[in-house]
Amino acid sequence: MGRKIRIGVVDDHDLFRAGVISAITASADDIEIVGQAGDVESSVRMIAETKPDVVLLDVHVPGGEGGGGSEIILRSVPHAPRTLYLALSVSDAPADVGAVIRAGARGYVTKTITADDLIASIRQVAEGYAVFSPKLAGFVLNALGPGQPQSTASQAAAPSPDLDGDLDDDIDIDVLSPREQEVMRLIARGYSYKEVAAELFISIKTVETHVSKVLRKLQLSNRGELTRWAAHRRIV
Amino acid sequence: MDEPVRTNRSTKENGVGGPAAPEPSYDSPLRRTTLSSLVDAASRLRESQRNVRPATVGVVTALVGVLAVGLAVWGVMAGLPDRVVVGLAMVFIGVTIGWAQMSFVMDDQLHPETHTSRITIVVTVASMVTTIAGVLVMFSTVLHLVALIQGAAAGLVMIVAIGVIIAPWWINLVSDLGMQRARTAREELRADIASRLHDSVLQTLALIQMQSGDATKVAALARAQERELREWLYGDPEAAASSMGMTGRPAGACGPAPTGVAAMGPSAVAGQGSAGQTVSAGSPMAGPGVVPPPDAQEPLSRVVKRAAAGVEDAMEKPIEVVVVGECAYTPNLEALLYATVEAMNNAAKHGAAPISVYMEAGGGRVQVFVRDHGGGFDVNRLPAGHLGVKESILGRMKRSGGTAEIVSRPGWGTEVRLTQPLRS
Repeated sequence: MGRKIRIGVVDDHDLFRAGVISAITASADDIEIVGQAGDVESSVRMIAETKPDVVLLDVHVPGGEGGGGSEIILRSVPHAPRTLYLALSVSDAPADVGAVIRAGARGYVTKTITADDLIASIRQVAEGYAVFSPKLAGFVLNALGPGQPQSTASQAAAPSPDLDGDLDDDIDIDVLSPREQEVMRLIARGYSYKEVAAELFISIKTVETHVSKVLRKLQLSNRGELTRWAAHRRIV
Repeated sequence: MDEPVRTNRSTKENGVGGPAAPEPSYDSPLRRTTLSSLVDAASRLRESQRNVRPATVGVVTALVGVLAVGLAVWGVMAGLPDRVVVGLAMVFIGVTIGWAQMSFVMDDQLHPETHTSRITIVVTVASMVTTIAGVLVMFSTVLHLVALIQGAAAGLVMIVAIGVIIAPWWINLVSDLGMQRARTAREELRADIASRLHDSVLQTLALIQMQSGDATKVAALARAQERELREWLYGDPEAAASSMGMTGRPAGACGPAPTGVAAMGPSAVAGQGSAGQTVSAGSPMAGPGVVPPPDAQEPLSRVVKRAAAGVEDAMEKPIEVVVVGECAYTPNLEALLYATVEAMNNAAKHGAAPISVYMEAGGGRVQVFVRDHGGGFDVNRLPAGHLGVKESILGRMKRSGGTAEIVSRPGWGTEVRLTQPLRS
């Protein structure tokens, strides 16, 4: 690993921010903290100035127009188009996390994550891959999985889930391919990417590709049910 | 390479009984007269029998009619002129009906629908017309028709003028009332949250301070508190630790999570809590007694989450539960539930974090996966007499028509895979 991963930390709780930073610097020498901020304006400024590789982003950040983390992403993209975002949230509310994911965050982890897992997630995002927690995978399965919410039996005739699986075509962004479903299900069962790869006899890279595609579907899907469903079930 | 084989272990009953929800309050900030509170008491009684409007209106009408007839009879006996008697009766009817109506309107917490209902307007106008007609009839004994109409017109103008004069005061009063109601609601909410935090977070913080030397204990306390608070803030508040009886799903429906069902906020639960709480502790069921016996038709996801919370608290290890799809709990699923609890117990006891529980319902079956990242063990070399795995998981699932599979590899951990077909 040649160069360090440059990260910015956005969180309005000073104590928590300091904790995250000390945890990261203590146990990962390939990660460098280049900036930190506690509200929307200073975050956007910080990201524009330092252009970090990865921004650890709290979902609830004061300031701006009240959009929190997703507002930071949307406003920062023009200034730092190569920066990636990892949402770090204490909130379980799907409205919050869903908004950040849709704004373009590459993953979501809760603040109760261990330092090692957090560092691993940062590296994963820095390499361009999505970070899926079991909860997020469960959410995806519920929202885009097989035979999902089309409540009426009449619509079940539409052969949505059993389309060609591994053919890498993004025809239907509202439905997971069978392979993606398998990957999501294993992640929801608590498997790491490595274990998923071993279980399905595929490479880790392939797993990461599947996960990234699922994340893109999640971001692009405009299935109204998804948001409504999430709001009702309060998962994510 | 052989880890000590898992043994059965029962843990004590846990996490039963949430705090009692406050009584739904009917108080409004308006100070009331004795009469109106009597009327309120009567209508509240009526409402409690779920028999709101028709009976109330009928009874009131009958009562007013009887009283009016009584009044008329008294008038005739006292030798008043007929027209005066009729007019008096009409005024009485108009005023009483108007008043009765008013007390409903004021009390819109009891009768939220009356505020906007058309009947209200019709009845109010009718009572006014009756009253005015009654007054006219009474005075027609002493005045000519023309003079009467002129007088009525003058009276009307006077009423309008007085109305204009008191309008600002009235508007002020109404807006004040709204503000006061909002303030009361805020205060109630605040009190609710305060009592909630007092019962949970403050107690936990006190416990943590007391036991600050014991890192595992502190972590477990924090974890349990976090779970509870999280459920209360964002999730299904029933799932956390309480076992108040409440159901949200139609019978027997299993499959994808419904988009519109349930999702009760904390407030909804607070309102309903007092209606039916069945706090049932430790029934003599054969299972590894962590799980309080679920109510029929309770969503399975809630039952599983509660079971996981119980194991989490007892074993002081975090367990993450992910649910896809939903299904009502039926006795058919009892074996699955207890096997799941057994697997979670084993994972918490012998395995290592992270421990994940994944439940998926749909396609005519329920699947549960319990995964830990411990050292693993040799499945084929279970010593005899270790009931934990053989009996509690494999045997139990087999007897109930389901399947169980245990996968364990050294360095990889253990996964228990349970499948239970649903009878239809």
